[in-house]
Amino acid sequence: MERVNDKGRGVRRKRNLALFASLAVVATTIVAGGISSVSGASSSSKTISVMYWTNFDNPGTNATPDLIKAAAVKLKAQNPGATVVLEPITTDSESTYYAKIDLAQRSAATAPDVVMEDSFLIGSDASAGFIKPIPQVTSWSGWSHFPAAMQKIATYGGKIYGVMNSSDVQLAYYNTKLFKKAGLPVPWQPHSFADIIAASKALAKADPGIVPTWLYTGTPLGEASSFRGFEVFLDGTHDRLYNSSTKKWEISGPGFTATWNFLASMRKYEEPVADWSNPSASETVNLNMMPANKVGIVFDGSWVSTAYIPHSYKPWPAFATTFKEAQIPTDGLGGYTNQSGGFAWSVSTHASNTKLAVQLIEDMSSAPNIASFNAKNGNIPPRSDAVTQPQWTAISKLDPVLTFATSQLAYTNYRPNLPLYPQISTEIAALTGDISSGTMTGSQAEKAFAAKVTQIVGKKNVEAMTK
Amino acid sequence: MTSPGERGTIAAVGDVAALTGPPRRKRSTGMRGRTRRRVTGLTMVAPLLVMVLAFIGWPIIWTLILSFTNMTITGPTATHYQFIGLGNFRQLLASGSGLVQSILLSLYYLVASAYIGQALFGFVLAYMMLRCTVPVRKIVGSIIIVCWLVPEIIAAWMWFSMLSDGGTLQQALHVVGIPYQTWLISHPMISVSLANSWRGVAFSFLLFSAALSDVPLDLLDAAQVDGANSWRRLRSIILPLLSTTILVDFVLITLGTLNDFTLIFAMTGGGPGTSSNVLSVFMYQQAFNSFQLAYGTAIAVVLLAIGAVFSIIYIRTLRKQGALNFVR
Repeated sequence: MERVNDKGRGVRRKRNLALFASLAVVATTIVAGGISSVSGASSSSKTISVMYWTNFDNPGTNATPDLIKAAAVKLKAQNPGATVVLEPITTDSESTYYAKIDLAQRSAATAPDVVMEDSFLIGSDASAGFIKPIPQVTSWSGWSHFPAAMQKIATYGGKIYGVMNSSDVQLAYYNTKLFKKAGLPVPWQPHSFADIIAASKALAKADPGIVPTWLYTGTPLGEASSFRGFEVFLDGTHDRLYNSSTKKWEISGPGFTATWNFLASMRKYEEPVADWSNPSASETVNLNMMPANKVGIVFDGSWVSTAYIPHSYKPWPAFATTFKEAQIPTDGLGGYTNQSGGFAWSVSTHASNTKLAVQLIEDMSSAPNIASFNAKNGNIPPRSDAVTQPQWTAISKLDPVLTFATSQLAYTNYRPNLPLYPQISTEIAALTGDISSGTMTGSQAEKAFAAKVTQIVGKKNVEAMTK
Repeated sequence: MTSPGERGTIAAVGDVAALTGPPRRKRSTGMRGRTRRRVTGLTMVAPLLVMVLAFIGWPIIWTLILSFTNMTITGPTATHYQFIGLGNFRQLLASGSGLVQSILLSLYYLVASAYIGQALFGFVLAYMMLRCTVPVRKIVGSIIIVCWLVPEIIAAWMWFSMLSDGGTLQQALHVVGIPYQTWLISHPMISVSLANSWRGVAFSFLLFSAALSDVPLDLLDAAQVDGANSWRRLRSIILPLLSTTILVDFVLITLGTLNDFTLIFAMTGGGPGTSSNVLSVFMYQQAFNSFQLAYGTAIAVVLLAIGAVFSIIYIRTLRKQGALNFVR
């Protein structure tokens, strides 16, 4: 019996050891997540990782990885031993990219050193502590070539959090063939919301088989619906989303009423639910409907025409004769309006080597690099001396829309670079969709917007416009 | 706690381990032996227990904790979040939050694709197969199982190409005179339910096939001799004999279907509008597209609660039938 018991104890001891060992392994695995990354970060301080969104580039251009690689060559030459690691992110929609980079930046284990930020997220991500101020950039020799507006987009709380690498404006592309068929004047330039509605009505009447006007709308298109489907029109009124002098969010006013009602009036003239309710809607309109003469007016970004130039991904020589571009009108206030966005390079709070990270951004932001990057993607260079670079002059000859677009920067507005803007923007996108799907009228959306914004920012931080 | 012979205890796991080896009379070794068996049993399940606690238990607790905060993906409360009590749940219960619609859509999806599409249809298939010749059984059985083997995301894209604009179904129906309509747009819930039924029917089919093969033939023969027609035999003999299998099937497909995300997200993204925004997709959209992480976790808690209610009902029924002797 003794021996049996001893043996039993021995086995038990072994089993207990095995249990503790497995516990220890599991516990170490759980705890080690943070630790290993911290040690990893300090030991590889000459390695700069760059996180970017692959979908940003025009198909086939590889504009972003090429830009990073070009800058990396210079960085490595100046800093022996330095390496640059690319961390591409591919997503189905813009908002998924935003969520991914923000989730990655929560932890030192997953945060990149340099990250490509949509400029509207800069204030929000800065307030979250994901990205850090980079005041060093003001000492760059080329910094003065970034116009004040471009510097301001990437500034939050008086500190610079990013360097713009691209910008854009919005245009009203209109199909001259369909306009002539509908008896509308060419060239066409609307001066109010009513002008846009009237043209849409005429287009619908002349050809019931087409989509008279394409407006970005609904949640699947996310920021595009809010930015291009609502805010750019609100910019044509006296109202704004945010009043920078009173530091309050505007929730209602005549401009809001006019804009919500404009969207409601456009419902019967815009694309059907089937076309806007999927994240690839912009491909539907740009690559299918426009070349097939199936859409009369398209409110879209200034990069659209780049797709159609020779050797691009949808060469279409007849584009220049089929489509013309109008400026974004105000709602009867005279003049024009616009809204600009764009992406920027920022440095993550968890960056292991800020000096190298900023140096890489400086290299990526040189005039030739910015010119080449924006030429490939059909965006507007955020640096004034980039437009004289050969890469840019070559593309402007092929794609005259870019020159026209650049001239619209004179009328442009920017989104409020504030922490709560992204949440408000998603609510706007949802409401535009509610109008388009017929679940809400203009005035219902107006009321819902006021309630949502008040809920997000708090009663103290909102105001209603009266004039 | 309980004597070794008593059924229905978790400690019985140790007893089971002991039973397989030493002869039964060993049990009379008293407290020491029992404690030892218990320790042995616990030691053996410990690694699994740790894994379950670390990878299932903790995430659930963390989800619960987060659902009482205002954590967001971006903005000041992304890192410096506060506890806001029942704020998220209050927001969910307010009218216009979309919660009620999502719950109803989830229940629709459950009834249409799990109970009807998978369980009922799976049973009918298994029952009919009893009467088929072996080659037919082999061919049909293989086809059904292949549907199950297709990865969910691939199944989603196959059905997307079937039902989207210009899709195969649209073209096929047009040939027989049914006008064009984009099924994913005009009937999104029917579309996703069809896809989920197609993909999941094999599981119920296999369960029922196995159970049906255990139904004693002499019992059926005797009933037939007594004049019971086939409907009567099904209702009075086969279904009662299969009741445990049916409940087990219900438990598993209910949880699988309520938590299903991939198929719907890939096929419709919850749209058009919010017309196929089941709870799982609603949760994802609020958490990751609207950046309201904590609000999304509150929806996850609702989803968890609904799943728990169903599970408790099924498990209670199963226990009444004596089918779950090993669970306390």
